[in-house]
Parts: sequence; C-alpha cells; structure tokens
Amino acid sequence: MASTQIAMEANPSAHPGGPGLLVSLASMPASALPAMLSNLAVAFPGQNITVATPEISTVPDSGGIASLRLVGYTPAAAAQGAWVLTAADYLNTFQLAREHHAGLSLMLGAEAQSLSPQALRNLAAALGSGNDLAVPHYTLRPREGLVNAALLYPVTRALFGAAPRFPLAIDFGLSFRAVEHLATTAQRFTSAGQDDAVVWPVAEAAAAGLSIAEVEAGERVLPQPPQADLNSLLGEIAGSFFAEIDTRATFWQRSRIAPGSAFTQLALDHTEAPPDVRPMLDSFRNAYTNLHEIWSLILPPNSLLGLKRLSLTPVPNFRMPDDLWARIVYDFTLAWRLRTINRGHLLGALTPLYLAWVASHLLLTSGSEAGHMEPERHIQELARVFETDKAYLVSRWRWPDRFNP
Amino acid sequence: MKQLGSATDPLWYKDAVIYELHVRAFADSNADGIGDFQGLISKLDYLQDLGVTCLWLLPFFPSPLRDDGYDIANYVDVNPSYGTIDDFKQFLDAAHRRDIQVMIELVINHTSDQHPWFQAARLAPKGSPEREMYVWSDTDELYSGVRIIFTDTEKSNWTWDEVAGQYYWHRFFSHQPDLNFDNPRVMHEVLTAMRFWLDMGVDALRLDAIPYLVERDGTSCENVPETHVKIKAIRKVLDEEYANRVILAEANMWPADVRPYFGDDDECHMAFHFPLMPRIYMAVRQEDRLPITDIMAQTPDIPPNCQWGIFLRNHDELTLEMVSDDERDYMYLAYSADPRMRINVGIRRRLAPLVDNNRRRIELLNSLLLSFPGTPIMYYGDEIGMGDNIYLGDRNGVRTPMQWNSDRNAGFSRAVPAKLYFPVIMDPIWGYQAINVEAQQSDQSSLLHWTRNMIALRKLFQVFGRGTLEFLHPENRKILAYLRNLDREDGSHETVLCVANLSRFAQPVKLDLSAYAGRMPVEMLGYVPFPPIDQTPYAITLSPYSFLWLELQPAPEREEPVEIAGDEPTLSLLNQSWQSLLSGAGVGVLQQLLPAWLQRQRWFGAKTRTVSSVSVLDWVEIPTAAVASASSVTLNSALVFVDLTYSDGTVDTYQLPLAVSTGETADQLRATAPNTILATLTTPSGPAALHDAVQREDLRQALLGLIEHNRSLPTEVGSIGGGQSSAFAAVRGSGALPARTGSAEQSNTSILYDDKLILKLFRRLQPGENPDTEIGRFLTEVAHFPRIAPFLGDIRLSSAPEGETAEPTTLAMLQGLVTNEGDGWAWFLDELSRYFEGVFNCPTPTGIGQVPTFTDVPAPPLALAQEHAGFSLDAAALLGRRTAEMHLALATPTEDPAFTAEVFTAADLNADARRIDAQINSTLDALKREMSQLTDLTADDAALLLSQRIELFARAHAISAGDPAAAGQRIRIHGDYHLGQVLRAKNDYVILDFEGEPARSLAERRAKQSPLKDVAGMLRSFSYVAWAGLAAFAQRRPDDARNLEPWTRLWENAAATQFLNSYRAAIAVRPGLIPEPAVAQLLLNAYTLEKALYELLYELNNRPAWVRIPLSGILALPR
Repeated sequence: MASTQIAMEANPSAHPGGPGLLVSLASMPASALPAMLSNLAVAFPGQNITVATPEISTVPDSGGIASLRLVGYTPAAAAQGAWVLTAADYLNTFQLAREHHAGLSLMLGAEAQSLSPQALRNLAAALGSGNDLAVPHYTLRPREGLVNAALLYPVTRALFGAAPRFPLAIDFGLSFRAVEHLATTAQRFTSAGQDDAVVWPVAEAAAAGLSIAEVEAGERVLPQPPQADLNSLLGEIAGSFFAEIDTRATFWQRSRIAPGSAFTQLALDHTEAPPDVRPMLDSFRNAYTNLHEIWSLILPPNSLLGLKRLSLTPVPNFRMPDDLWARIVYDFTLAWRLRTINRGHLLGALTPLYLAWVASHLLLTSGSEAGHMEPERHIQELARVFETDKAYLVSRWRWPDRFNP
Repeated sequence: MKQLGSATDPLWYKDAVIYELHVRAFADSNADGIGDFQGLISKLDYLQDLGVTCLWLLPFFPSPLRDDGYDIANYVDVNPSYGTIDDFKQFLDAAHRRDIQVMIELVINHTSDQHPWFQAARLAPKGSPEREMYVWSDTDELYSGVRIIFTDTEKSNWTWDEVAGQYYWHRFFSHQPDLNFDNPRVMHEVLTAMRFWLDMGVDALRLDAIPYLVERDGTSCENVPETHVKIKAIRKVLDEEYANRVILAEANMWPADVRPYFGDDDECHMAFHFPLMPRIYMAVRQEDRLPITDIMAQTPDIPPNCQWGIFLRNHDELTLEMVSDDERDYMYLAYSADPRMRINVGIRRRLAPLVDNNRRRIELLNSLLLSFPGTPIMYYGDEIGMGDNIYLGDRNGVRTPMQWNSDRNAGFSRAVPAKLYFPVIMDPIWGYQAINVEAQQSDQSSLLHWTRNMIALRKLFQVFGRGTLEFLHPENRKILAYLRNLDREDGSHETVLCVANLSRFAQPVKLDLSAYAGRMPVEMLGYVPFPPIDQTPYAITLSPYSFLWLELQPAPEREEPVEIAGDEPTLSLLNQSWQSLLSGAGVGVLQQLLPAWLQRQRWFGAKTRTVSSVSVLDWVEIPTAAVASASSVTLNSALVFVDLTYSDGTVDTYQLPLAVSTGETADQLRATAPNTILATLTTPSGPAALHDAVQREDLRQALLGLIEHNRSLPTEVGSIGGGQSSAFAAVRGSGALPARTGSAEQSNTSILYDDKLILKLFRRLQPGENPDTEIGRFLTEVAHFPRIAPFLGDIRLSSAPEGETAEPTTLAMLQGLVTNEGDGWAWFLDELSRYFEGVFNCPTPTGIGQVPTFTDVPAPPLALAQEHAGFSLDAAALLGRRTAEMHLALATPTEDPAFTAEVFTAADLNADARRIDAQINSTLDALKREMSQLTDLTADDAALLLSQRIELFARAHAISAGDPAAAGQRIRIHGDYHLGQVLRAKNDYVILDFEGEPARSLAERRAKQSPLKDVAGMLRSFSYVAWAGLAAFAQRRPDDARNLEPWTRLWENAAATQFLNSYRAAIAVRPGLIPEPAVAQLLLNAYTLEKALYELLYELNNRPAWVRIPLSGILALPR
C-alpha cells in the first residue's frame, strides 16, 4: 500500500526498479477499463505488465489478458477532480514502481482509454531508449489546447529549454530515476497542501537534467477540467506555472534555449465554420475599460499603448503582435513573483488578455486568403518570439524597476 | 520531541543572506514599548519579501539587560518582555514556513552575575563544584598581562566578591563572570542548553566570544588549545544528534588566528571575518583597493565546507581592534569626527551615517558585501538606511527601534513614547518621518527596493556564496576587480567578474581578461551583453562609486559557418612538414608574409623600419601532446629563429614560435586572436591556420616541460636546452598548471602558468646570456635574495654546429609569479594624488627641505612632510633599504667572474666621464635646437642650463680626477633602476627586470658599474613621479594646483632623503662597496646628471611638454 511519506533511497543506484513496466492509471469508470486493458494488451503483446488502478473495486480481473497483472492501491493522496496528473499521482506511482520493481512507468490520465496502442508503445519505447521523461505529442484540432499554445509551450521552451509541445501533459512515461525525482518534488507540494500545482513536471525534469523525449501520441480525448469557467481554469494553470517559474529562477536564468518542436504542423481543417471571436473581443474591450488601472500596475507603457491600439482595432483586422503577447506574459509572471497586486486578481486580469490573443490567433489562422497562417506555424513563430524576448524577462526579473519602456 | 531543522541542504549557510535583528528593537505587539516575538512574527512577510534567508536573533533570554542581553540569567527561557517559549516556537515555525532559517545566540563564555549558577557559586565553599562553575582566585595577579577588552569601563579582568571572598574572572563587564570550562559540569550545562533550542528546530547557533573560553596562566588567555577541545566537543554533539545545523564563531581576531576555529571542519562551520569590514570603509575613503586586497591576501584558505561571515555593520561598534595603529587613527579621523561616535576600540555608527548618507556609497558597500566570498550578514534597518543616535550610552545608538512608518513611534509600538525602551530617531535627516519602511515600499527607487533586488540577484547565482575569489590587478588602484568562479554540482560553471569604482570620480580601467578570451560578459542587473573578451586588455569606464557585476558567459554559438577571412594569405602544406615551409620556396613565402604580419605584433619593436629580407637561421620542432592525439592537428609546433634585414642594412634576430591548427582551434583563433594568424594553409585535411604558437596550450606546456625536465632538443644547426633552477620544484608544486598568454607584454611575450609561474619568451634575440636571466639566477641560487621574482629556469639556444662552441642565447626565462598591487610608479602616483588633495588648501610651506647628499649627516625629513606624506615617505625609506640589500646581494662573494666585485681603475672612471661628456653634448645640442619650441618659463631654464655647459663638463670630469681606489667597488647592478621596475607586494617591494637599458649593447649591460648608478636612477625617479603627480593633479583640478610647486619640492626632497638615509644605513654593513661620503657624492652627482640629461633628451624628442621635469631636476642638482 502506498503511503504519503516516502523514504527515498539513500543509494540511487540501488533502486528497486527492475526491467518491468508499470502502468499507473488514473481513476476511470469501470466501463472504460476493458478498453484500456485491451489497448495495453495490443500495445505490449506477451509482455508482463503491472497495471495499477486506484480503486480496488474496479479491478475485477485482467479482462482475460494473462500478461497484464492488475493491482489495486489506495492512493497516497487523493487527486481531487484530477483532469491532469497531480502531485499525489507521482507519489503513488513512485511507491508502486518501488513495490513492483518497475524500472519504467507510464502514468496515464483520465480518458486514457482513448490513447491508441501505438501511442502507448511510443511512450514505452522512448523510455527504453534511455530517456527519463516521455511526453506525448497529441494530435489535436487546431482550436484545442490553446492554453498550451499561448502560454505553456512557448514559455517552457524559452525559459526551460524544454520543447514538448504539450507541457501540461495528461500522460507521461517515466524512468525510475524520473519518477523518484518527481515524487520528491511532489512531496513538497503535498506536504505544503499545494494541490493546485499542476504545471511543473516538465520544468522540474529539465532543471534536474533529466532527458526528455517527445513522442507521437495521435488523437486523444482530452479530459474536461472541473472548472466551468475559463477564468478559474486559466487562473489555476497560470498560477501553477508562474509559481514554478519563480521556484526555478536560478535554473532558467542560466539555461540555453532548445531547438523548436520537430513535429509537423497540422493542416487547418477548412471545413470548420469560421470562429466567432466577437464575444472574446467584447470581453477584452470591456476589460480594457474596467481593468485598465490594474493592467497599468503590471504592464509598461509600451504594452499599454499596444493594448490601447488593439482595443480600437476593428474585428477583421484584430491582430495581437506576438511580441506584445510575450511581454504581457512575462510582465504578469514578474508581477506574480513581486505580488504587485493580489495574485488572484492578477490572474483574473490575465484572462481577457488571453482571450484577445486567442481571438487574434483564430483570426490569423482561419480562412485561406493571403496573410493568413497555419495555426502550428503561428505557434512556432510565437515560441521563437518568446525565446527572443527571454532577455526582457531576465532583465525585468533581476531589476524590476517600474520605470521601464 | 526533537524537531528537524528547516534546511535540507547541509551547506545552506553558504547560500544564505543573514539578517541580524534584536527582538526588542523590531516590533512591539503589546504596546509595552519593547519589541516582542509576536511583533516579529507580524513582520516576517516583510523579511521574506526582502529576501533574507536566515534571521540571527540577538539574545532574547532572561537577563538584567546590562549588556543588551549578553548577560544571560537563564539559558532555557525567553525574557518575559519578549514573550514566552510558545511565542518563540510559533515564531520559529512561521519563519520555517517561509523558508527562513533561524540563528540564535549561545553565549557560553560568561553569564550574568544574576544567574543562579553565580549566586550559588558565591555562597558555595571554595573548590566545590558549585563554586568552580566560574573562575576564582585569591589574587588578582593570576593571568596578569591579559588585555582588557572594554577599556572604557573596566580597569581589570578581576573583580573582588565580598560574599565569596575571592576575585572572579571576567573578560568583559564585571557583571559578566566567565564560566569555568575546566569544570566538566559547565560543558554539561552548555550542551543541555544547546540541545534545548536545537530540539525545538533552531537552525544555527552563534557562539559568542569563543576565544576566551579557557584561561591559562602565562598566555594571553585567548585561543588556548584547550578552547578548541571544548568547541570540538560541541560540534561533535551537533553532528551526532542533529542534521543541517550550523555554528558560527565570533572571534574578533586576524584571519590567520580565526582559521583554527574551523578546525579540520570539526569546529565551527562559519566565523566572522572581522578585519575585512574596517578595511572596506578604509578603501572607500582612501579610494584605494589596497586595504581590501591586502587583508584578503592575509586570509588563509578554510576547509571546503566552512564559510566566512562578512558584514558591513552590526549591533556592536565598528571594531578597530584588527587594524594597525595608523589605520585606526585614520579611521577615527575619517569616520568619527565627533568623539561621541567612538567607544572602546571602535566607532558606534550605522552604515548610512558612516558614509554621509550617500546613496551611491551605500550601494557600493552593499555590492561588495553581496559579492565577496562569504555569507553576507545585514543589520536590521540598514536596508532602509536608518541613522543612529550617538547621545545614547554604550552601543545603544545603533540599537534604536526599527522605523516602520511615519506614525507614532515609527510604527514600532503603540505605547506612549516615553515607555519605549529607547527613543526612536527623530532628527530631520534620519528621523522616522524621513526614513521608514512604508515610505520606501511605495517608492520604487528607494534603498529598500534596491536592496531587495540585489539580494534576489545574489540568490540567483550560487557562485557568490560558494565560488573562488581571484583579484585582478589593473594599474588603476581606485578600481577593485575580482573574479568569482564556481564549478557547480550539475556540471555547469559560473564565472562572475565584479568591478567596483572606489572613487568619487569616474574611472577608466583596463583588465587583463585574456584567460577568458572568447567569453561574453553579460551585465547581471540588466542582462546587458557587453563586447566579447579577446586577448587585448578589456577597457571599462565606471561612473563614481559604481560597480559592475558581469557574468562571463560562453560565447554565443554561431549559427552560420565560420568563414575564413578573405585577406589571409593562403599557401599549400601538402607534405605536412616544417621543412617544406622553412626551406626552399617556403622561405620566399614567409618573406612575403612576415613584414605585414610583424607590423601587427605588439612585441615587434621595429615598426618604423622596412624589412628587406628574411632568412631562417635555425628552427626546431617542439614535440607536443596534440600530435600524439587523434586530433586533426598533424604538425608539432616549432620555434623558428629568423634574421630580419632592414633596408638600412642592419639585422635583428627574432624568435617566432609557429604552429598549424585546424578545426575548432583555428576557428577560435579567428574569433579571439585573429592578429596571431600568419596565413591560411591548404592541407590534406582541409584549411589550417599558420599562427603564433604561444596561442596553443600544448606548446605552452611543452616549453614548461623543457625546463622542468632539463630537456634538450636538436635544432637544424645546433640545439636548444631547458634547465630548472634549484628553486623550481618548491615554487612549481604539483598538479597541472593551465597556461595563458599575458596581455601586458610589450617587447617580449609572457606565458602565465596558473597563478604560479611566468615564462618570459624573448622575441628579439641577442647573442649571449640575457642579463635578466644571469642576474636572476645569481640572486636566486647564490645570493638567495628574496625580494625578486625567483628565477626558476631558462631555455637556451646554441646555434653552433656540432663540435664548435658558442655562448648560448637565452630564449626564455621562467620566474615565480608574484602577487602584487602594481608597480612602484603607479603606487607613488596614487599616494601623491592623496598628498596633493591634503595640502592644496594649506598655506605655502615655510621650507621645502634639501636635496639629500652623502655628505650630510643623515636627518629625518621635515616634520611638515611627515605630517602630510608619512605613509609614502615610509615607503621610500623601505625602498632605500631594499635597494641596498639588492646591491649587497649582487656583491655576494663568489668565484663566478661575472659577479666578482672589482675595484675601479682609472680607465673605468675615464670611461664613465667620457660617456657623460657625450651625453652632455648630445642633450645640450638638442636643447639648443629646440629652444624656440619651448614655453617662456621652460626656455628661461633651458638658457640657464645651456650657460652651464662648461660647469657640467667639470662635474663629469671631476670623477676621473680622484683616486680610483677610493671610488668604491664595481659590481653587477640593476642598470635600469626606476620606480617602474619595482612592484608593491604586501606593503613591500619586489624588484624586477635586470635586463639593463634595452638600447645598450649586451656587453654594456653586463658590465660592472658603481651601485651608485642605480641610486641615481631611483632618485631621478622620485623627482619624476613627484612632478608627474603634480601634472596629473593640475589636469584634474587646475585651480587648486597653482601653488603646489613648493609642496612638490617638499615631497621630492623628503622622499629622496628617506630613500638615501635608509640606503646609507643598510649598505654600511659592507664597508668599501660604496666610497667615502665626499667621493660617493661626487659620483652620485655625475651619475644623476647623466640620467637627467638622458631624460631631457628623451623628452625633447618625444614629450616636449614634460621637458621641464628633467630640466628643473638638473638645475636643482647639488654641485
């Protein structure tokens, strides 16, 4: 049985992880389990795999698949509404890996039954090649995963030199070394009661010098976050991310920038109806009137001027420059660190700006006329701008004088 | 239950930023006028936001408070005024939740006289365990001679106790009896108290006054060996029973005396570096880095897990115990104009008042605090620039309530003001209405914000807490420059260059960063990239009191392929041998390439002449490690000796180390030292660079290897051979010595091996042994003269074919590298700058002293000169002594004919006279020619000198008129002796460069001469530096310099007097070396005249504006 207190090995080389593969499943409905097991059996034919699920009651049998050994466990710490992997999941997986002598672990999040056998194989293969952390690259529709695109991917790439396209991964492959390290970090979060820490493993792995591989994972049903509104969701993700950036400042101020993602871009599905961005822009314009004072505490005059111009731009021409968005994100990161205003209010003030970026991105990447762009190309260009402007964040971070351009 | 400490890294204290505070002074929660733990808890967010990582609490135990809590009456409780044990635990937990560690005091040398142990001891019978808790004696004569620390209040270390009927021992106040550590019960009680707090989770303990724990008769009762036994016992318990806890030693001693308190990492983890602090203030006031570099040079290495604690101010006076008497006087004058500012042996003022509330000075001092090796300790209130109250008693003026806001009592307490333990500061400049946290929090440009940002920046770079320290030695001593280096555990490396301007004016500086060529400095505060470093001195200009922290990052990776410069000549090297390049058609190619290339080399001395032909005299391949490896380099390096024939028919021989490099090595050369590339070669493995081989580490190591292994190699015609001196092994030590090329060389090339050795590679070769090598060897191996850079070996070329003999030519000389503070010229110029600053508004001196002579009875210089320039005059005296010692060493009896002292002959004196004649003629002729170009004032002097031509000849001929046997002895001398040839090192001198005057032939330079020739050279140098100093001052402050000529003459005469007096006293141990006074003066006059005429000719040809210096010098010479 896993417990919340983990006694780490004094001698890392003597870890109990063996050659075995552990699949640690998030809580899932009983009806979904057979499909999951079936996919695992297809992915790893004839291999002895330990599959752990959190509720013992959901483990009636192995679905007739002899090579799968199902084990139940009581979670070390409850993963509340876990739509992404939480700190408790790393603690649990580490304990399970140790108990079952698993050298490699796959941590699969909610709706993991929608992952293809090939995706599962790819994750395990990346670990087998000696990598510590395998991060899936999902095939999403162009308008999905935009928080990743707008914030997590470009900032993770620019600051931590880690280029996984989806740092907020729902599934991970982990070597024993990686699961042990991440569990140690996770313990810090659980003992401090920081259940809202969701965006840290990739940055943590990069800072620890663990090797990270990105693997093709195809399509997947994304789990739905419990938060009904974007404000709360973005607040949770951005808050967690900003905290990680703060914690890891000594690392990212010295890290070198990694090359961009190697994956091919998705072709835009032109059959989709053009998006209606008016509600997003209304939200932005309202916020420009109502939140302007707060923004002026956080953003320098150049950025405020850029926002003013945007607020007056008609919808068809609405384009948020990439460097404006990058500096907004960086200035909010800094304000979070400095507690320039209440952090809850700060994160709330980011939402309308994010919506403005989303609207701009959708307008830029919809349609096929001249001047429009493939979504992934835009995201890659945005990431490069974040990299270029990293020096802006470093200088603001080191000398956060408000008197700046 | 035993609680864990809060830190997880055992070395957490190395990265810490410690904040010292007194609970009583920080925040009062219950309106009783006294700060308390609840108040402190309410301010933890502020401290976390400030960025400090460890809180050091001054004593908070029950106490009569007659020494601010250092008089403890109960070790295991909290003073009720500050709260309860539970309050302390609550504070500790709250601090730990914020990742802040807590350090408390363990005051174990003494207790309060109100402690129950002492009260019981007084009543207990003599010799009983209770009585023996303290140190008693029937007489106050025991331990006589032990110094008294609190000189202002205590007359003896013993106080009579009526009840006990004995004297008790106390090193501090008489109400603080010392515990007796010879009684095992004392140690037991101390450990009990220690465990009490550590069990609670306290992270660190400051051991107060530990040098005084144990007393032994016949000693100073300080640092006795038994004290270390006690400390080891405490550390043992700490290590065995607790994790990640730290003890910090308070030992107000010289660094070398503090070193034992680290033990072998089995005593204290940390110790304060007391002597550094006053020297930082001294350096800033004197605008001179020397006090800082000097004390750091005296700071020994400490075990790897140990750490210095450094600070600018603390709760005590700015202690001046660890400075010399002169330094103490200076500090009092500089920083405590009001006698009330002084207490005991120190100054009781806070940081901001000490520096006249100058923001830039405060920032500069803090930048040093945060970037120097060690853990910085800040004193509460200094982050907002709080003032002090010198009208409060003892050291209480720096212990006033923290100023939080402009409300009543500065927001410290809601009590009526009269109830406060001390009044808050209320004057218009320092008062809480002007200086408080709240105001500075809302002011983005405040000192508080600045401090917070600086702390945050320091914490980003582990190198500040854990890295090594290496000072740079730029000529400008107003600049303090140092490198911090750290190999991090994750394999990465941090290098930070810190440069600070100690002056109130902008300063230029050139730094030798050639070891980091190719790196890109990035200014750390603003993340601003600076130009990349190359082999040339790195020039920076700093505004007044400014500082730069530059991270030396690896050069940015190039995305585009490196292109071979189009203007580099290309030639083929298809058969991969030096033979193909250095013979036949290859020489023709070299002849085409060399003239243009030589023009770009700093060491090439004939840039104005045209090379008409080049011939290879000889060459030798130097086997290097690179060839043995599988690298793409396929050729050894080679030393090539070429004759350059100029268009006027004259010939020079030069030494050219050449190498061929490909791949990354060649790319790096193109990026960092393109001037060293002679040509691009076509080779079977692709393009290669033919370049100066000193750029290659393998060649540098190979040259050292020749010397180290006394190895010879055949050249095409003869051979080369290396040889080490008897001093080599001791200086070289063991281990690898990474090498780099020095950047300050002019006519030669220096190769530096780590910080130990320097190889001078002579470029222009002259047949025969170089005098520098010859004399260096003699002084090192025969005379054992310590005031030179030790001679360690050389490399010689013998180009005579086999069977023939010829004197070898010196190719390179190896010496020990001397840590120094720049040359004597720069040092005296700095001193003169200070001298002129001090006297420019004084009345004209009534006398200027006299030019000293051998015939005078030695007398000290005028008191006025001593008063204003005592330090530099002492230095002149020391140089006189060292000069005499050098001559005595050169006259060491020996069988070596090159060094045997000889008597003068008539022919010798005639030759000297003829030489001076020639100098008179050439100089006066030139003076006559240039008369029309001189200013009126100078022309008058020139006319006067021209009118004395006959008299000058008479002076020259006077030396040949006397009896040669009475002219003293002829010995080998320095030959080109002036202030630029001596280095200042640790308040002393190291004498350099025995090559002689470069323009003279080797035979002339090796000739024996009167030592008075060196004396004359140095006397002229004192004159030159005095007037050069005045010129520099006048350029900066023309109005203030108008009336300084008498002051200049006063200094010149005083310095010369000190030098000559000291020289005479020291040289007297060998009678006969210099003649009797009258003859000595005759010779000195002649040699000084010759030297001054030489200078005059030089200035006429090169610097007409300086003509007046030698001109007035000649006119002032004694006749």
